[in-house]
Amino acid sequence: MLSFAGTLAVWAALLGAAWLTVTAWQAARRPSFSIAILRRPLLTMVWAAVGAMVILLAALLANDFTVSYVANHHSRHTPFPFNIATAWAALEGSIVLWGLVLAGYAYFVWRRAITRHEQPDTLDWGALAVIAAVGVFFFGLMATVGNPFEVCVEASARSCTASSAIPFSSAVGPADGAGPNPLLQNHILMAIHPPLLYLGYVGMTVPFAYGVAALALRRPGSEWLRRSGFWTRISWVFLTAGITLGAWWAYEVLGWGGYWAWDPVENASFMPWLVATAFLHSSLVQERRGMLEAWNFVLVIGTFSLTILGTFLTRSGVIASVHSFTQSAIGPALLGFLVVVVVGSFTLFAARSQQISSPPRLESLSSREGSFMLNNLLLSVYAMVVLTGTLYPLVLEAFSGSEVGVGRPFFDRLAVPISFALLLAMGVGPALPWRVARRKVVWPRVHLPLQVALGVGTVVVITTTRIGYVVLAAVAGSWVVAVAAYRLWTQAQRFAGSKGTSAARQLGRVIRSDRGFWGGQFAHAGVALAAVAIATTANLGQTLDRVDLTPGDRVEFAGYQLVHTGVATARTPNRLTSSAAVQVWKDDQLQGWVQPSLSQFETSALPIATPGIHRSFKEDLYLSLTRIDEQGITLRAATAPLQWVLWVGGLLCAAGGLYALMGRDRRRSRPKTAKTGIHPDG
Amino acid sequence: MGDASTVPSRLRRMSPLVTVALGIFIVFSLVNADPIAEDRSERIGDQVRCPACEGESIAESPSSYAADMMTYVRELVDQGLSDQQVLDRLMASYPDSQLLDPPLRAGTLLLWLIPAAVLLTGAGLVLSRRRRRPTALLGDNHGR
Repeated sequence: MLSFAGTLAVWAALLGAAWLTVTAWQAARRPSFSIAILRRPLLTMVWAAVGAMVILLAALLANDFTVSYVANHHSRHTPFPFNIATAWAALEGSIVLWGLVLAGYAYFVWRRAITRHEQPDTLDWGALAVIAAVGVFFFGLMATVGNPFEVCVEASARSCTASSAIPFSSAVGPADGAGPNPLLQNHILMAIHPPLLYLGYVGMTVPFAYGVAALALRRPGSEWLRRSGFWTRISWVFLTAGITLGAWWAYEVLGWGGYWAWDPVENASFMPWLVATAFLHSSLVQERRGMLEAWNFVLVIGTFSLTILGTFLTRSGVIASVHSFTQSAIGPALLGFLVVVVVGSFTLFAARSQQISSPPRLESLSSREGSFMLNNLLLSVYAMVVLTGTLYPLVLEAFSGSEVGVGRPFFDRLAVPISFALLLAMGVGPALPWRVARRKVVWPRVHLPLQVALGVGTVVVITTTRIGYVVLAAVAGSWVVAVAAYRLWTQAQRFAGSKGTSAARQLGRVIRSDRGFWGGQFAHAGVALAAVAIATTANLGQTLDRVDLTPGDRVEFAGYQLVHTGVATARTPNRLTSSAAVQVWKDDQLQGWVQPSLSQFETSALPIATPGIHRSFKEDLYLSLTRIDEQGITLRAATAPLQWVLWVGGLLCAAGGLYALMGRDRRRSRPKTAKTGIHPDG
Repeated sequence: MGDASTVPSRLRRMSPLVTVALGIFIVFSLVNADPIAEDRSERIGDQVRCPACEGESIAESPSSYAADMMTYVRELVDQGLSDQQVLDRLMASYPDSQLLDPPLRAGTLLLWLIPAAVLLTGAGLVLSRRRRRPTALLGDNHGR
């Protein structure tokens, strides 16, 4: 029954998307077209996409194991909220979520277009047509090779061994399913970070759609950037938050104390972030100075292509081996779509290159736009490094059959210097005025911050460490923050001077006067914090490799005394969890209890380690088990200095983006407000 | 000019000296930086892919297979073998593809060349965007 309803919803969404593609494109080609006719296909697609997700959730909550997806990925004992998260935890379900998010974006793009002050026009309808066309692909995927609503026609004890796409097939279902991958039901962040990443990924469709529409309708210029800027930023915010929470999840769950392994799945989210970040900056250059018009098309096409590539990499099984990826037809379909997107959009770009205006030349490299170009160069190279390192083993194996491994040493060697260069550029850039930077203008803006940064570095050297990366990160990070803070302070002073009040009272007004700029500075500060935390956790942490402890044993580690007091086991319907109680002492003071554990899921052979973390301002003490039984435990311990700063930095980065977005929205909805603020762009 | 006027002028004249002194101190510290307090075994372990797990190195993976391999690495390090010798022993029974740090060979050359090529092309593009000296300016505007 639910299979039938679900299949119906998927087909309705597919028809709605196709219908919308055609009507929106007609509206884009003929300005006199009545836009009211877009409403019906749009709402068909949106409601059908919502329906598909609701039906999938209903099937999960009702334990309807005759639905193949439910039989294969759900179990009666999966606890809340993981039974909900199962809806997008596996391949077919994740595409349902993708479709839902895309339909949501389509709806809000439409809403925004018709409620905006200026009249919506062909550019908006063209963009809507492109979004709907992307929807046709994804709903088509659901309707054919990736249908989660297939009826289970042959079941084994805990899974569905054969399924049929015909809704009225006689359904059988296992009494219970295998449940989701144990790693996916261990931590609340698992239920949160994938949807955030999807909101970011799929959102990048919107600026891409505006870009393609601008090219197809021969309307290059900056209008498409202005209309899609909101969507680029909100997607970027989601992507940033999703990456941060994903790293946090890895840290809390995977049990080795790491948050980033240059794993292809992580790289798949990082590459679009890098290119989208470049795009955010270069689109500013075009809006302000009319430069980089062609480059912005390249970046927006690149961002979207990388999101599709990322979906292909993470969802086709190609990572495990190039030979396994024919197991599901979804992989080849995604690869085909990627080729169509890349070839199609770059062909269109080439065909329109005559109409893309040749930009005015850069007056000086030392200017705001010059620093943006440096930023774009570094981010592009960075993305290329990650892309090459991720794809190289696959491509080499596919073409020559020889295998090569590319891992952390390769990525670190190239990513670390690029990151430091980016940090330094991030410190200089905001202090430079547009067009040409004169030393007389720039030096006063950066001199005091430079002293502060060097001073911070000196303090670090004297009090903490002389490890180069840490000192460098401290100097570069505080330089970024100090340049922004000093800028803020001097402007508040100027503001206060004209008002006759104190500068401290004007800080808020200065920030509010240009939310775009200051939101960007908050994001920069977030990146700087993250950089410092990455340097400290990677270089100042200590590790204790596997000690065997029996209850009552005590071990000294990194200034802590760890006392293992006992073992407890707890059985829940789907797992047996054995946890070790460990007291954490420091200077004869009990700091707290930590309970690392190992869980044995009934559906999985390998036990899943859940670390126990003792958090303090200075550092995290990270304990994980590799063995637990009657004789005692085998414990691994590590310290991660300033680990919390990484999460704060990542979230601050996202929050800064959000703040910048609010400014953009305000300025756009009230375009003619008198400019009372002092604009830092000089 | 910021708040420079509120700073006594003598201090203001000293200010660049402070910057230079701090700068020299930092550069000096960086040149004489402590070596990263690294565990040689960990560093070697970072370079070897755990055969039983997906994509993790043996230093990172919590699996017992990786733990055994790390124990072996530690033994070899304690015997005083060099990094390369340890890797050679370890890799005797594994294909090269288990190395996460690809050795520079004909097959991996492109891996290093592609990022370098992008960097050079990009830098070239940025530089070519720069407006020429005023003498070249006329020719520049000519085409538009």
